[in-house]
Amino acid sequence: MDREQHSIQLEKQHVHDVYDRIAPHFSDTRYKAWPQVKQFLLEQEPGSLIADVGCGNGKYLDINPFTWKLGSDHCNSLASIAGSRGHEVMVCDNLRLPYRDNCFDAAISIAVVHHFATVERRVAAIRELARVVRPGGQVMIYVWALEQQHRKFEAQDVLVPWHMQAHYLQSTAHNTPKKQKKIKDKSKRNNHHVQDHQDSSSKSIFSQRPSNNQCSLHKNHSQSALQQSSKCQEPTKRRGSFSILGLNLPFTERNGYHWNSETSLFRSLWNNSMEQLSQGEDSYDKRTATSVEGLDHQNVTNNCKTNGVTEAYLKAERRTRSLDIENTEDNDGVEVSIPNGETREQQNKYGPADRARKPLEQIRQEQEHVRGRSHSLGGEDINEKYYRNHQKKPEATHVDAEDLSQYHRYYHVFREGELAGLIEENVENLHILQDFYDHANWCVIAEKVQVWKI
Amino acid sequence: MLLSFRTIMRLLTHNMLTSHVKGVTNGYPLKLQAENIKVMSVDFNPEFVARMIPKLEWQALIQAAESIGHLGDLPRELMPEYESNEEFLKMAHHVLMEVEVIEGNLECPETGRKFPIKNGIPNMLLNEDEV
Repeated sequence: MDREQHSIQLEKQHVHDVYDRIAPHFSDTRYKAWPQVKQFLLEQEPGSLIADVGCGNGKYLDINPFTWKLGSDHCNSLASIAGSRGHEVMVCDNLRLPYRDNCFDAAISIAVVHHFATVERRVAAIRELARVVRPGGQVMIYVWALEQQHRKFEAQDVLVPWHMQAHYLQSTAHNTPKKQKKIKDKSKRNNHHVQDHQDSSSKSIFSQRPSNNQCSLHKNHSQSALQQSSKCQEPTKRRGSFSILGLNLPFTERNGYHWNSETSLFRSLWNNSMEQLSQGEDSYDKRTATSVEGLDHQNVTNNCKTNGVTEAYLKAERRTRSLDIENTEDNDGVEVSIPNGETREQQNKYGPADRARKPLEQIRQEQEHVRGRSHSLGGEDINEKYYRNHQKKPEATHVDAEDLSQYHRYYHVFREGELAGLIEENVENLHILQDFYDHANWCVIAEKVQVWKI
Repeated sequence: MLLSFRTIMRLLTHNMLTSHVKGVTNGYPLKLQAENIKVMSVDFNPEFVARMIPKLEWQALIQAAESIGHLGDLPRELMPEYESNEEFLKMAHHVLMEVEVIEGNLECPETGRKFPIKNGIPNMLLNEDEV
């Protein structure tokens, strides 16, 4: 079987089939729109046509009623859920979008491209996004980041577990519209609705069902629990107060977030919760993701055609994975603070949360020992060393083959600069406008340009 | 837009869709065959419609509307200064937004391959041999 067939099989088993099975449960955990994505959509002109490629349950289709949105997803079940909420959706493949060229004013691809198993397929997906957007239109892409505060990925190609709750296992594949309405109304009424997580290893310091815009603290948690991530959802936009440690802290509206600007403790708790929420809404995935042999680590001969992906890029990619860590910024070991809800322009360009870096020299010395070893998991050893002193030990991965409630989704998590690099090297009709880190995702906003070939 | 529990495909959506079967050069527009259509009232926003029209392939819209018997009096050619012609915009609004396809097929004009529309959701996934 060649690379393409391998990747198709991997994606079928660990992306498409999984989403088909977990759709209703997955949908219930995906109801909060990321603020940056929301801002991007709200900035589009009235009357714009927007494509949401990989729309899932359609949570972004609600935003900005003055634009016309078309959702699409590979998963029929998720598309049905999106459709039952009154949106127009279709089932299709990101690699072959059934849209004519240049017909959309904007396109978003939120947490989609990281599900493709090879670099060629990821590039092809991005090229499709560019194809369907008109010149001058914008594309926003979000992918999971390798560099995260609350999770350690041992490699870039991983299987992330999803634990299905019992009542979803018993229920039918499709949510009834009634149930969806109920969930939607509930979340509208009380934006503090927190998904009831049943993961016993959870270290949440916020109660599971806060009410009236308050996140009250579990009484039994110790001070150290404050260091752990919380599960507080984005609060509503009304003024109010948060109760933390029994203290009522007033908050004010700022950029759609609520925080007490005088309390750095709250800010860091808030940031922790947002970080947790990013993939966040994958709070079920407490267990460490399992590394999987990425298809890009198979031998790619110098002569092989790779659907237009430049050989130079592939070489660079292999080199990056197996040997070097590209510390293009911040190699002085200084911690970079978490983006705190400021606008994109205000954020640091590259600022993953609490990513203490070793000096570049130290890493290079360590790499000398690693060179020459086989890297079946492409960079796993490098990553382990890289994160060892700065992250907690990964929990042992328990994959119970008989546990039908556990599913694994394949992800290729992106390094800093990888997404932007992929676009710069391989998608000539996309010009990157913004490149940033947003709560455990690497994000790019790019503009479609007309490329003239002489 | 109207919130409904029934998924639908509108003619505005149809106007964007093309066949992407491998090797097809003339996959647009898809022939629309509708087995179940509903007409629902949608709030008329003239500015919204006026902004949408330049993004459309007008002839494809006419063809599709005609094939399902909902063309009405919509003119086959766009007249100049249509943006300020409220009557025209109302007719365009009706065809674009108020005719809802729930069951049917979208047929590739070149290969005849049918993409089904079930419960208002077109399934545009290709089989392995078509890719």
